[in-house]
Amino acid sequence: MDKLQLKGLTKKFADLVVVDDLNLTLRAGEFVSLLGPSGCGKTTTLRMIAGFVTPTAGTVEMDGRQMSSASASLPPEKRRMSMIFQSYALWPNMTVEQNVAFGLKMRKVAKDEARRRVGQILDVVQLGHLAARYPNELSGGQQQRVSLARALVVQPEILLLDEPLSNLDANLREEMRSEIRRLHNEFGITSIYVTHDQSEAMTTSDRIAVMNKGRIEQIDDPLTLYTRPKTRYVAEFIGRSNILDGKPNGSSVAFNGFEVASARLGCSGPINTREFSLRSQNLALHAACPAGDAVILPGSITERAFLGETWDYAFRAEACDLKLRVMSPPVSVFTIGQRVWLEIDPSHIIPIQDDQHA
Amino acid sequence: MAVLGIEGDRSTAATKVAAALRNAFNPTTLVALLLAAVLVFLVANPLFQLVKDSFTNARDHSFTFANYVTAFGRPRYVQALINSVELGAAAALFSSIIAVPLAWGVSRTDMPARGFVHVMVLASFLIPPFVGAIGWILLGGPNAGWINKAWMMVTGAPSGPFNIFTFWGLALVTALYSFPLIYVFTKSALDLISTEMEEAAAILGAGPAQTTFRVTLPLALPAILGSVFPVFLEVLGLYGTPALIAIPAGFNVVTTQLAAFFENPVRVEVAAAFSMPMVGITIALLWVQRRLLARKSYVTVGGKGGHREPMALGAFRWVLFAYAMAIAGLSVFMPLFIILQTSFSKAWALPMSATNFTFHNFQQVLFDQMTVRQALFNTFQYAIIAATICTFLGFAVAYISQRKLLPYSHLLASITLAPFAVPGIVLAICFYAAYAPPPFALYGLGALVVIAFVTRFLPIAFTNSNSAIQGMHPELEEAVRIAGGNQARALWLVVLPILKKSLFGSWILIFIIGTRELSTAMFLSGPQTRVVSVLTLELSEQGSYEMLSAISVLLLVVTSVVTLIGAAVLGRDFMLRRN
Ligand SMILES: Nc1ncnc2c1ncn2[C@@H]1O[C@H](COP(=O)(O)OP(=O)(O)OP(=O)(O)O)[C@@H](O)[C@H]1O
Ligand SMILES: [Mg+2]
Repeated sequence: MDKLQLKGLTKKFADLVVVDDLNLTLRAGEFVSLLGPSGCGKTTTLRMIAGFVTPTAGTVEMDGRQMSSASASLPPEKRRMSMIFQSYALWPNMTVEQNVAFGLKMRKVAKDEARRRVGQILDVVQLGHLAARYPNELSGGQQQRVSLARALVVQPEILLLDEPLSNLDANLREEMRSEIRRLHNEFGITSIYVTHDQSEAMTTSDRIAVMNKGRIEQIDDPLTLYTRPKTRYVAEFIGRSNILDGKPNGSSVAFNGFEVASARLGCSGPINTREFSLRSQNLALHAACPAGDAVILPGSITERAFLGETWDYAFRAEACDLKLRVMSPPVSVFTIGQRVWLEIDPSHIIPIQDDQHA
Repeated sequence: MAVLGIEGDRSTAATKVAAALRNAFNPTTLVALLLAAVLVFLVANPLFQLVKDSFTNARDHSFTFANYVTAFGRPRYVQALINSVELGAAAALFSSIIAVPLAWGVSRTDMPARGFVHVMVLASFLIPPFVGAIGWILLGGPNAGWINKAWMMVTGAPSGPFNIFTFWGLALVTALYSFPLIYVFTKSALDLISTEMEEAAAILGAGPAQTTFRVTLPLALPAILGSVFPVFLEVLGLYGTPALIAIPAGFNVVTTQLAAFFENPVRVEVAAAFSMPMVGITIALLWVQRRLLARKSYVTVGGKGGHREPMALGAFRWVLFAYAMAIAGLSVFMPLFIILQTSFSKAWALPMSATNFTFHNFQQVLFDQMTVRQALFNTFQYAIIAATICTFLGFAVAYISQRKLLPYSHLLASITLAPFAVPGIVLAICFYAAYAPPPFALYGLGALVVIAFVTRFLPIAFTNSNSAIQGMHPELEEAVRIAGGNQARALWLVVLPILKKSLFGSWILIFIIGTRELSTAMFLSGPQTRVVSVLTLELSEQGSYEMLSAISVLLLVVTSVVTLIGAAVLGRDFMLRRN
């Protein structure tokens, strides 16, 4: 069942197109991330869904009912949604309990019922013992939990989260993102999560919409997004990719220095693009020429950096000027200048469309 | 080696002596002692003398409670005290009713002409309260007042409805010139509340009105309270407006009663005793305010989310705008218009006409009347000297206490702030008690007025410098030190250049409030050392409103020019910034 639909959603500030003809459908109970670099229009999209910003064109529909269009917009307070703000926006003049109870009060929930639900949700986020505290007497993580509790207690139709973890330090961030996922599993609220951190998006989401310059480049589940990027932008934004130029040539594709039968590439159907993505992690280096039917290229190491969990090598092929980044496990140590053999599994070579906005 | 060792010992001994000597007379210690002495002279001694005098028999200098008996022995003296408290409360209430909607309108809504409304508040801040009061006497006097005359003309009634010479008239006029403080505090608090606070309420189901009353205003409440208290205290110590309005209306407040004790024969001891409740109330209120606000410093929690969007009020924006314009009319346009008109009139009560037009008043003020010229000259002279000394002293104490250059420097800071708890008129009594009689015998000298001004404005200079220094990272100076410069060099090359704008700002602020300071000057200025504000009251008693208006116009022109210079150099809001 479709819960939320964005149809041709567009927002211009003066002449600046910030959100550009954006289409997105969320199923009920789905957790979708909007992932993209700073300034690509994520917050603006979210605020259009919440009703704080009126679209220039297009519509927002919830349960088939129109919420926003260029001409009419239901005010935020009537949408029965919840939002987690980047700054948490906890009201410092109210205690934790009062903060959480606010939405229930607005929805005219009976006092006893409200108290029960506040107590319950505070227990869920493990803050029952801090109910009487003021927000500025809490740590950052605790404040975040309060804002989660405040958003969830009203059982919103849709939960909107705008970079909720960006103010936390790294450890806490990891803890909180599993917390967010846990709460989602528990309550099943349809959620949109805005972030520019791909690992956050990967770990929490059912699907990720990668945004670029106000458009969605690709929307898929995390694994597909990683293994089958559709555009150069997505390939480079998610993980590390080498971009290869290739010439389709009948039943095979000619790359710089080697040629592969089309059937062995990581795609089906005819190939009509000239750019291909190849993840650095999917390449292997060998000190001696390995056997097998993979593509083998002799070459040498030109640069290296040890990143702790991996080696980051720059490889240059002998026969041509092909240069590739290779990620290797810590145990495969090579020195700069060393002669090596690069093994490429052709099924990891993914054709990508040219950058839509190049 | 041995030889070297012996030499080493000797030199150690010599160094020790030298070090001891240097310790005793090193420049920092000298500065410290000097500063301490200055602060004792300016603050501690006068306050001590006030308390001491209140328990001293004037004739034989023996200990007595008689002054208190005299001061509180008559019901009408006690009534003056009650009147003051009521006036303070009424004026604080009116001020809040004026200031809070304006601050909210300017800070958070789409009210039209917000910039203009803001400037109007600045303008009413610049009008000295006694000038506003004179304007209102001309407007709202029971028969001849212009409002009443207009009323009679329109309705044909034999008398007008409005009388400024009443308690409520006084409260209104007082509020019209004390609300800017509440406005500034409220507005800067509202400016700091991120829109996300309001949006969080909206998404959870709160409409605009609910959001405003449940979230926005409660968040600003500490700031509102934090300025309502000072306004109350300011009104408690206000002398000019009550002297102009309450006395003709036939009632006294504490300050006018204190002035009565200073009329011949001067009874300083009784005045000192009578001023004690004021000091007590002030200290008590400051304490209450601290307690109230202690847990509620609503520093906004969290980071980013800094974007702000004004709340769309729909048609109500025009209602709010009309309210703001009404306030501007009452506090700025009407009084200024009437004063300007009067200053060019032969007789203020006559209608505007060519025959009533004259430059005579300005000629009188600027050239003919020696007393007026002298007073104008004194006013600016004292204000300039006091502002300069204050800025310097305030900076010195703030810098020393911030950088902990001296032991007990926090004590210096506390002494510097102490005058804040003493109303201006009480400060005048302190200085009269401390330095009018021998051995100092400063009465009749400009110096007495100047040092009293310095003490009165020292807390302002100190807090200004203090927050400016706080905003400056110590590493800037440490960079000079590590590069080989000493503290003095760091001060000269880095600190002063960085802070010169804020110091200039606080100089201007002190200059402007110095030119209008009345209550401190009241008992301290003799015939040769009169300042304009004091002269104003005398002229008002004589009913020379035309000359009075001309003086007011001059004062306003100078104030405006200085403010415009300040605004050009430092930005529009340099005076209305909240510290
Ligand atoms: N009210 C506004 N008026 C004008 N321009 C705006 C407004 N709000 C946003 N923009 C512009 O729209 C663009 C997208 O802003 P948005 O806040 O949606 O980005 P974002 O993807 O959330 O970025 P970030 O990751 O930095 O939060 C930016 O270039 C921003 O400057
Ligand atoms: Mg954003």
